[in-house]
Amino acid sequence: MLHDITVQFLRHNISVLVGRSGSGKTTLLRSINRLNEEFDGCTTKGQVYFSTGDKCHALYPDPDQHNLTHQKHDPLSLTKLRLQVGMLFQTPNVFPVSVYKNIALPLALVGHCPKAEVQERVRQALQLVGLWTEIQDSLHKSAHRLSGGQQQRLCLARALALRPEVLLLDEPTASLDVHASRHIEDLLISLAEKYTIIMVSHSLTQARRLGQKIMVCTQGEITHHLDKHEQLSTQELEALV
Amino acid sequence: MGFSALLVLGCIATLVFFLLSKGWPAWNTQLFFGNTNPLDAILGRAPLWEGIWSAFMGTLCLIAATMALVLLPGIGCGIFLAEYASPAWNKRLSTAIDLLAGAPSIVMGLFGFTLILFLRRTFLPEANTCLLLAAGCLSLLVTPVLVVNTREALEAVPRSIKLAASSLGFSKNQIVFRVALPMAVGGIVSGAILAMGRSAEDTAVIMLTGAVANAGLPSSLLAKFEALPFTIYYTMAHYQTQEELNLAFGAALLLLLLATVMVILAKGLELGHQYFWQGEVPSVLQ
Repeated sequence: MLHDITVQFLRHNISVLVGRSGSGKTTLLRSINRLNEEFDGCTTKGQVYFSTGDKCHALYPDPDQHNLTHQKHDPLSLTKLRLQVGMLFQTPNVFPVSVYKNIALPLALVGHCPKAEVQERVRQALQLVGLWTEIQDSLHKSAHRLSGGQQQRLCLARALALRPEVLLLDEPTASLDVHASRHIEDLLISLAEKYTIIMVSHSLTQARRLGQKIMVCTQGEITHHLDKHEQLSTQELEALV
Repeated sequence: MGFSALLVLGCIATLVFFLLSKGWPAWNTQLFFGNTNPLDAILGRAPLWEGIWSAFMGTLCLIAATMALVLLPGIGCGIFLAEYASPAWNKRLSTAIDLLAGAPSIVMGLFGFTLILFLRRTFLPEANTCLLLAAGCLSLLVTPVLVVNTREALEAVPRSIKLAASSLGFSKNQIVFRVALPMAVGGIVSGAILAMGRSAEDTAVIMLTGAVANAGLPSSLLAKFEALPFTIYYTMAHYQTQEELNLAFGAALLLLLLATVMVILAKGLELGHQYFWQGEVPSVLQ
């Protein structure tokens, strides 16, 4: 359960949420793309505002129709929200179809990408995550044949193909080995120049390595906001957690 | 455990061996077409008075009619239970499905017969037992199989996959019909094959709702018909010569073969789906 959360995530930054298990990091992450609503019994009070620079959108429908503050901010539909906010999960969850279809299916159904453009968008997405040269000859083979690290990168490519502005990463390297994790981390650093990245991490070392902003979650609240320049050691960070 | 498996395998092997040894020697054109020319009989150019060809065609028509009635409602109900029903509706529907599953087939046959009596006395004086009535009653009988298999197949789709699809912006209907349902095809096809098998083999329902010993090739949905299970039952109950007994065994073997073909067809559909949807060459073809 989260309470009294007020936080800003800056554009083209990697913000990392750290904290003990059950402190609410993933719940907070999922509140940004309203994924908590997929779980029975979840209620959300308050509002999340999503600013794209020229417009500011309210993400949750406001029960108070006369709320003037809400009316100033165009409400964003769920599909449009999730097109602009991509997500990567802890365990790779590729669809049981070919590599190509994993990316093409959301592009066609949700992105409404014209058929003529799908192939090119698939190639661009795979290039962005460094998978293209590895699997260009086996695009029509099952995605389950890929290694764990490749599957996670495929999931990232699938999200990036929809051209989101924000990426939510829920412990993206938790189920990967050291080399695959490093690969993903380098990829995230390069992607941060174009995307706003908000990630949850159990690894304080990783948080220090990647995060330009670190937020410490404790029992459903954000207790500390730390900037990279504060240069806390892992032990100091551990003490805060 | 190993002994139990051996016991089951032994029973199956005994049944198949018994049917083959008794039924196979009877397999000839006379078994299927009597004294009628086979081509004339198949093309309907000559009436068929003997043989089990009429019963075979009647069974095929019965399966087709039953599946036409039950496929969409059964799969649709399974989808509703798995993906859309509220907990209250889930409970009510599941209870109803369980009750239906527990209904004995003879009771279903009796229901069909009673329905015809009611119709004759009220709206449709010309109503009679027929292929359509038999298919309707069989469809009620096999609905629980299809519903339960569909529901379980959809519930077996990992939550993580549905969540991933949600996070990509898929709507509920897109998740169900474009992601979950294709993954559940194997289970749904198994349910459909079980339903087909049950409708091909049930005797009690069709005895009271339209199957007769001699009706020729099925002429319409509203006509009486012959069917293999009823032919086997009738022949075994009234046989007076060895030839008639052999006809019954031959028909039983044909029914077993029909069930085998349906299983192979199901496997083929599953493999084809695996290839075209998943992009995976099935291991049997590698």
